[in-house]
Order: sequence, then C-alpha cells, then structure tokens
Amino acid sequence: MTTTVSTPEAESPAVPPVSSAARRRPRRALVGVLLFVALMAAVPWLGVSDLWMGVGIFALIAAVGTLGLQVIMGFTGQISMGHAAFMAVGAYTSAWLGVEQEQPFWIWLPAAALVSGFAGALFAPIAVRIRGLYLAVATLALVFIGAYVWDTWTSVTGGSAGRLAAPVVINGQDLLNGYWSGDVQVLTLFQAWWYVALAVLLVVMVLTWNIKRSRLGRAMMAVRDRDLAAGVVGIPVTRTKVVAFGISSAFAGLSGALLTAYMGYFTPGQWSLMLSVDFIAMVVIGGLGTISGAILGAFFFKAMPEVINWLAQYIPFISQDPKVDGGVTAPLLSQFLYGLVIVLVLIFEPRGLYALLRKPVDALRARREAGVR
Amino acid sequence: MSVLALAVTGVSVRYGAAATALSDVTLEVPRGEIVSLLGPNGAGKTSLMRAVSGLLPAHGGSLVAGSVQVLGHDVTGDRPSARVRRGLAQALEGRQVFPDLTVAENLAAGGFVRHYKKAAAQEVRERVLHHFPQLQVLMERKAGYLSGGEQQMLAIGRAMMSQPSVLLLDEPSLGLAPKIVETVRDVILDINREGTSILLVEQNAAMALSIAQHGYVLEGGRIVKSGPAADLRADPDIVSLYLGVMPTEGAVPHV
Repeated sequence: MTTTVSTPEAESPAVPPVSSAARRRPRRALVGVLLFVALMAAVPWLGVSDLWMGVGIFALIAAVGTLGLQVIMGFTGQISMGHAAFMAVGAYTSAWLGVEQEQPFWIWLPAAALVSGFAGALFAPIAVRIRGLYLAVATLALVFIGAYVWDTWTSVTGGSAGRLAAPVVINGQDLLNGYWSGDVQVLTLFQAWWYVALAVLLVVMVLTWNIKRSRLGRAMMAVRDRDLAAGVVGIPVTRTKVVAFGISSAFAGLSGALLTAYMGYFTPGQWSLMLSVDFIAMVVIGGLGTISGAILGAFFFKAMPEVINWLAQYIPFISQDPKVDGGVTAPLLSQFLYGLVIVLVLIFEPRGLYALLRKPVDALRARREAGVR
Repeated sequence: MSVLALAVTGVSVRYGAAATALSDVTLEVPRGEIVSLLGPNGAGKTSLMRAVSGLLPAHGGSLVAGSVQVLGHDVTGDRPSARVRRGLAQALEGRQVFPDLTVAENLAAGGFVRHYKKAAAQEVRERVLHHFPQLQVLMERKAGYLSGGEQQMLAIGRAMMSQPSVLLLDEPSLGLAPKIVETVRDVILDINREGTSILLVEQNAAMALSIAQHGYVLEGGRIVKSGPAADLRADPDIVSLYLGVMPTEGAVPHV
C-alpha cells in the first residue's frame, strides 16, 4: 500500500489529505505576526504619553529576557534563578566595551549576548546534573556569587556607586537625546528607544520561533516532558540542556545590556534575586512554553503597577502622598493588587495569560468552523 | 559467524552499595529473532533493560561487571543516546510518550539521531505509520491526550523512527485491553518480519512465548531457564507459574 515517495512533495495515499484548517494555520499566524509588527511600529505615533512610552520600552527590553527564560524554563523545563546574573554579565560586557573601549552599538550588543551565552554554557555542565528544586537552588547561588563579584570588581563595575552604561550612538547621536536632523528632532528619546528595543525584540522573537520549531526545540521539549525517555529515543539530554542554558543566558545578556543602556547608569544592586524572581513571574504569568506568553507576561508585569497607580487617583480612600503616615498609599495598594492579580491568573488559568486570551479566540473559531461544515 | 543483534554478557547490576539486582546475566538476541524475557515482579527484568539501554545511572544503579554489545559494537559505557545511534531503540515501560508534544512531534523526536532531511523523515514516518494506521488521523493531537493503546503504539512508533536493528519492548501489553494486546502483538510480529530483532519483556507470558523464537526466565536476578519458546511453553514449571493456573489478563491463545 505504501509506495516509495519519488519527490518530497508527492503525497502518498497513506497520508490523509491535510485538512484545510491545518493549511490555513501558518497563513493566519503570519497575518497575526504582521499585525503585531505593524501595531508595535505605530505605537510611537499614537500620542502615547512619555510615561507610558517609558513603561513600554522597559517591557520590550524585559520581553527579550523573558524569551530567554522561556527557552530554558518553558521549552527545556529547567528552573533557573540565575537570570539576573546573566543579565549582569551582558550589562557589564556592554558597558565595558561601549564606554572604556568606545566600541559602537553593533559591536557591544552582540558581544553582550556572546559573553553571557558563553557564561551560561560554562555554568551549564554543573547545572545539568541536578534537577527541579535543586537546580533552582544551585542557580540561586549564581546570583549571590554575582553580587559579590559586582561589588568587589570595582574597576569594571564601579562598585556600589555604579557606573556609566554603554550609549546607543547612531550617526554620531546618542539616542538618549533623541534623534535629530539638523535642528529638528525627528524622534524623541522615547520614540528612538522604542524602535531600538523593538528591533532587538523582533530579532530575538524570530530566533526563538525558529528554535522552537527546529530539531533542537523538539529535543528541548522532549527533555522537559520526560528526560529519561528523551535519552532513550536518542536525544543527548546533557548537550541539549547546555545549549538551552547558553541560548537562554545569551538572551538574558542582550536584555541586560539594553536595559542598562536605556537607563544610562546602573549599580550592582539591581542584579538582585528579586530580578530573577520577576522574570520567572513574567514567564509563568504569561504562559510557559509560548512566545506570545513571554511577551504578554513582560508587558503585563511592567504595566500593571502603573495601571494601578493611575487607577488610584479614582479610588477615594487612597492617599496620593507617599509620605503620609498610615493609610493606604498608591504604591502600597499597587503591590497588593498586583499580588492578587497574579494569584487570580494562576488559579483560573494556570497556563497563563496566553491561554486566557486564547480561549475566546479558539471558541469563536470552533463555532465558525462548525458553522461552515 | 553471524553477529548477534544484541549480546548481554555476564552482566551484574547493583543499586547503591548493597542491593544486587542482577548477577552474571547472559542473554543473546540473534538477528531477526524475537527473544522474550519472562520473570516475576522484582526479578530484575527492568534492571536488565536499563543495563541494555544505558539508563542505570539515571536510576542510581551501576553495571559492576559484564558487557553489552549491539551488532558486535561494545556499548557498555555509552550514553543512552549513543546506543540509539548504534541501532538500539527502546519503548519504555509505561509508554513514556512526550505528553505536551503532538504525535507528529513525538515521532520526529524519535528520529533525532538520524538527522533526517525533510523527504527522508516523511518516508521513514510513512513506513513506521503503516504499522499504526490509527495514529495517522491523530498526528496533530497532543500525545498526553491519547488512549493507553494509542500511546503504546506511539511509543513503539517513536522507537521505530530511528530505524533500529534491535528494539527493546518493556511490558508493551501492560494495562491494555485484551483486544488491544492482540493488536500490539500483531504489530510486534510485523516489525520483526521486516527485519528488526526484538527483545520483549512481558508479564503476559502467553503472549510473549506465542511470538518469540527464544525465551529466558529471570528470577532473583539470575537467568534460571532459557531455551526455544516452544520448549518453554511445554515446560511444566513455566506452565504452572506463568501460563497455567490463572490465565494472565489479556492472554492471547496459543497459536
């Protein structure tokens, strides 16, 4: 019944015809991606306030890091608490190259990814021997070792006083001053930085998308699902984890370099355990294992406190002045509500915001397809 | 002299310092044959499978003596993935499909070591799938949502994707309805007929001995009996212990 296939395209009778829904899927995904890119590219021209543009830029930069964590946690199933340490490696690499060595943007940014990716791959052989919570604890140690190094290696890190970050200079203009053509400001600081962060995020998104669909991505997910079975089907489990660690750390390094470059100045204090925890929260809230989930999580996490701050002015019992003793202040309430929202998301949709948004879309689609038939 | 598909020679296995799970076990799977390994719970069947596939270290065990050869190549110290490259494949006990991957992705993962190009992957997949027609309509389904029988088919199919010369099957009939056990049995026969040698570990001795050419009986970590399957089927001890008194659930009538 099966005949040898003469050309790869020839469909043997053994294979049932691909359903039209399955064929439509890639096209629909492409439309979705194009819409996303167009929308994101239009944001700086929609009259968004500087405050919200700033939040958005932080979210774009964080999304680069969440995609990195998605590779190791979502795809490969390894909990890493060391994300902050790898972000710091990227940040210091870029700052040293960009300031001391006066290298341009297009050198220090890839270098940040390479060096932190290398650091991740170096640590990985230790990490791949342990699993689950033990791995979480081992990666935790990275953050503390890092904190010590950043505090003491003052010639590079500036010690606790901090140091200047690498500037993003394009055509001789530091983008932190916006982009000028003669005396006319073409792009404000926020508009210019939005595009820088968006461009990096899009590149990282494409990379992650390709990893997920590749042989390597399948190997990662097989290791995540059942690592013993993965070995038995021929997947080199250790090597797959090492590569995943390397890629994850490289993205973390990119994110760290961009973050500090955008802030202009940074101190060792920000590479704390909380930063790692924030990233894990973003990935879990957004949805483990999905690219859109990682991005949603980053935006949610960065925007939520600001949303609550903004809401606070309409809620009567909240004091606007943080210095007043007693009473609920906006930042305090923001923390409470923020925690509440996380708990609610996890209770009602453990697969995260991605799945939450996906539900109505899937329901609509199912109904429409049922109607067509 | 023809090379054996699989040769386990003088293997002893220990977990930790004290517990010896296997002592001096020797077992051979000639090319193109089905060999079945019988034995009660705790006899060491799974340990033997682990010694062959390289999973002992992952379970805290170690091979203290002996060697494992696949097609004449010594794989004793190799990692599981390296053994797959040598031509060994295993469908683990309890099926162990990748639950969050689709059926298609599970199968693709099974071909990992062969670096198939797109056309070759398609061809191998079709060849594997003609043993499992019911999987064809489930290709986009997550493996975790398949029934037990379908998962067993997928586990065997995934193992076959690396085009192995030796296939290890660990309790393929476990927890399956009698009718499905029969299907699994037919599939094993089909796969064997196309040239793959098979080492079959089964609780269901009637089913195992009905398709094997050769059988081994493992008790307390030692091989206590071995011989042509026909002889074992007639052996009074085997009959009373494994075949006779209580028909095993899902037993297949002798052929």
